[in-house]
Amino acid sequence: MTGNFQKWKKIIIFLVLFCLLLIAGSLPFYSLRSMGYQFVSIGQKDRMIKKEKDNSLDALFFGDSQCLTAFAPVKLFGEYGITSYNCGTEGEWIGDTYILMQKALEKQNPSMIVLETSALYSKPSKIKYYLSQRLPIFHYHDFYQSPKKKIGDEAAKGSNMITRVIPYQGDDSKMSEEEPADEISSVNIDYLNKIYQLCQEKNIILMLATALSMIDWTNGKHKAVEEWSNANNVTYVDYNESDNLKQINFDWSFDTRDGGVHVNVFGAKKLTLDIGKRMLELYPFVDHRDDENYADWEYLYTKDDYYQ
Amino acid sequence: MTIPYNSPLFFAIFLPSVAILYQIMPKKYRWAVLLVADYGFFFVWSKILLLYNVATTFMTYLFARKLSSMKKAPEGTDRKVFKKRKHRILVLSVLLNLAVLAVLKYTNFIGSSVMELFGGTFTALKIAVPIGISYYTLQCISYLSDVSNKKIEAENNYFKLALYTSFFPTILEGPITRFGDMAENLFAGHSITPENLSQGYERIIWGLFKKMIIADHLAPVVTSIFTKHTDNGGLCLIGAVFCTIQLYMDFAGTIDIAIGTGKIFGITITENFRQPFFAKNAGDFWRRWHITLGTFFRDYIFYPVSLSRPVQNWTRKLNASGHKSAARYLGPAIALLFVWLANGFWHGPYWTYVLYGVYYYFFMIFEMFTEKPFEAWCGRHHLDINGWQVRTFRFIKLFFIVIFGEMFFRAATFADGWKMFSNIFVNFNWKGCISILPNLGMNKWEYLMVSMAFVVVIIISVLKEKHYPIRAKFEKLPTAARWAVLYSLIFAIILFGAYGPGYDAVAMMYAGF
Repeated sequence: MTGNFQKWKKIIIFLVLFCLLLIAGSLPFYSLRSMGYQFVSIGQKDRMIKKEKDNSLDALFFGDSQCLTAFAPVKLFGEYGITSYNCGTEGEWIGDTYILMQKALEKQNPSMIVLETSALYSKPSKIKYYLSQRLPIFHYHDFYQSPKKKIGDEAAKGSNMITRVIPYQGDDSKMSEEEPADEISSVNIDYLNKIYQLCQEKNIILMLATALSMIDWTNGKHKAVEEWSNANNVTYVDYNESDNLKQINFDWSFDTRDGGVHVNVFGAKKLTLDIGKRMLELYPFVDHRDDENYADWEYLYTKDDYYQ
Repeated sequence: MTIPYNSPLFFAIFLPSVAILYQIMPKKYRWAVLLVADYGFFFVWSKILLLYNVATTFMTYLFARKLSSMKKAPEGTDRKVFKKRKHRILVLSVLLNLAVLAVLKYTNFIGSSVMELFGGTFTALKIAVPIGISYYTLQCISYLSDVSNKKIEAENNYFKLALYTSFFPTILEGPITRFGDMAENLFAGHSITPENLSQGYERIIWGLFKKMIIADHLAPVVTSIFTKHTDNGGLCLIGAVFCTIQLYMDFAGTIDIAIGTGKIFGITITENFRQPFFAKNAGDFWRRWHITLGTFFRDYIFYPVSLSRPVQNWTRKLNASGHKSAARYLGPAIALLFVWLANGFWHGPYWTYVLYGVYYYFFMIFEMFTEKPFEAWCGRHHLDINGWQVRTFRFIKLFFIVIFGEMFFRAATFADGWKMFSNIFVNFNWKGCISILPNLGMNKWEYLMVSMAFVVVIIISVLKEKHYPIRAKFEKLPTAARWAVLYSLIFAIILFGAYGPGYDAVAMMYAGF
């Protein structure tokens, strides 16, 4: 019995010591929290943006996969001569958007930032986030890892453009459903305010946009974002609204890549064409199309029929 | 939601909770805690499909009771007739078990194959398959057969049989256990002792080390090569090697976790691997790899087919006509064909798996005819059959047999496998493959870390192969040294394991078979 008691005691001491080692082992990882929660994709996108010439971008697009797939910077250049970069990453959380924005603004001085709003409604799981902040050894253990998949294409200036067509086959009445505002969580609102603050400090015009998504976006979310944008005098365009849909001539049977969740390149071209017009209404961007310094942009736009 | 064995949800929450509940229960009800845990675990994975397991177990239970009651021929009944009747009941019960498996797992395969043959179109049916069906079906068959052959007594309590057929540590990937080996410990309600707890968790840690550091890191590289780089012969060869390492580390690691989990409850689960890459040939390899599947096929297919009346008759006829050597090989050759077709089909409803079985059948037959002449040849040339030259030759031969086998096994279709295989010989671009390799999902640091972990596993395997008493020596180490080893392993998993942001969860590979 005493022997067994001693053995159990040893197991408990082993576990206590393990906890202490875990806390001590976490110490070197605390500083890595500044890399963002989704540090792999954020880091990868940061490296992509840093490859662009310093202060060469007029506008930046931020957000999650909706942003990544909806806005085509090369098309924007071809149509309006505006240089931009799509900084969206898959499943991005607004907290990480703020970190990536700070990193991007280290070397770029854009006149406008377009924030796609879906990232306002994503959030890491509470337990995982808490653990990542308190015991970062688990979350950041392989900060050196090689990215397992590409997040956007450098030749497409960060965006993810594909031609695949998988039509949306449901009804299109979702946005007309009356529902109360789907409040943005207080944590995410804090980050949205920080982004707003950052833009004001850097004298950047902030614009909110919601790309087309028949599956993820609702009228309740629209209302909540609209309330915030009205209160802060920030321009907001929601392409899920029927008027906007008609205006850009969006075709649910052809312009989506995955049954209505994300747009394909055909949908992205329509959205980009429209948002470019709206951007020009907010700021008089210089047209770089005849500028020799931007010949590489011209080349990307004209090299094949992709963006025509 | 699922609870894979390699998730913290399993080894840090589910398992300790079950262990605590088990321990506080009176000894005679502890097996019931395990059964509740089994069904809970099964339900989390397969929801209502749990009913398939319940129904199969119940059917097996009833048949086993019937077979058990037929111990002696009633007076006035011919013994032969009685034996035949018993045999028919056994065959019926086995066929019913196989029918459930066939309908759930092979309907689409059979439908599409038949339609392909006759030129029609087949619309695949959406059939949900419960976890572990390939494993528990074989366990039910072995149980029925053993009861029929009076090797074991039929279990009187349905719930106890249910515990055996749904045991949560083995339900996902095996090992395919035998009721006779498991029953005593499974129902004994042994108390959890500090020795069993620490030895169990040590084994789990070792399994996690193999799976999370080696197998799961290699997974994206292997997937990338098999889907996007089948034109580069060099990469195809590397892909085949990596695929073999991944499969072994994944499967053996998961089995370590299963065995460790059983150990915590004082239940000894049969080993499923015995250093397979030290085997002397393909036959020996399969006696060391997925051992419990091999022994199942040996006991329930190979022996019954070899000893069946038609095979015995043909052998006798050949003997009588003077073809003594042919007679000697006929029985094993026929029985092995059934074994390897079954092996291929068991892995899943794809022709690549069937061909994988045929591939090994070819090598088994080849070895059957060449092993003796080879040994004689070695003798004539004064080569020690256990010397390093012969062992090296055997290792290289087996290495290529196994990696090419895994290449066809992993390829999406036979055509893809053949393309990769032929590119190794006609399009081998070593420089190109070295430049592409660091861009397939692992950078040089990750390759270095995986290599180091692999070396650790090899060292342990060599020691085990040489029968070095690793466990006993480890137990004799001073506490500080033992803890240092354990902490090193745990922190190696925490620091270098493939989990967290950037990684897609890698499914346990054999759970899909």
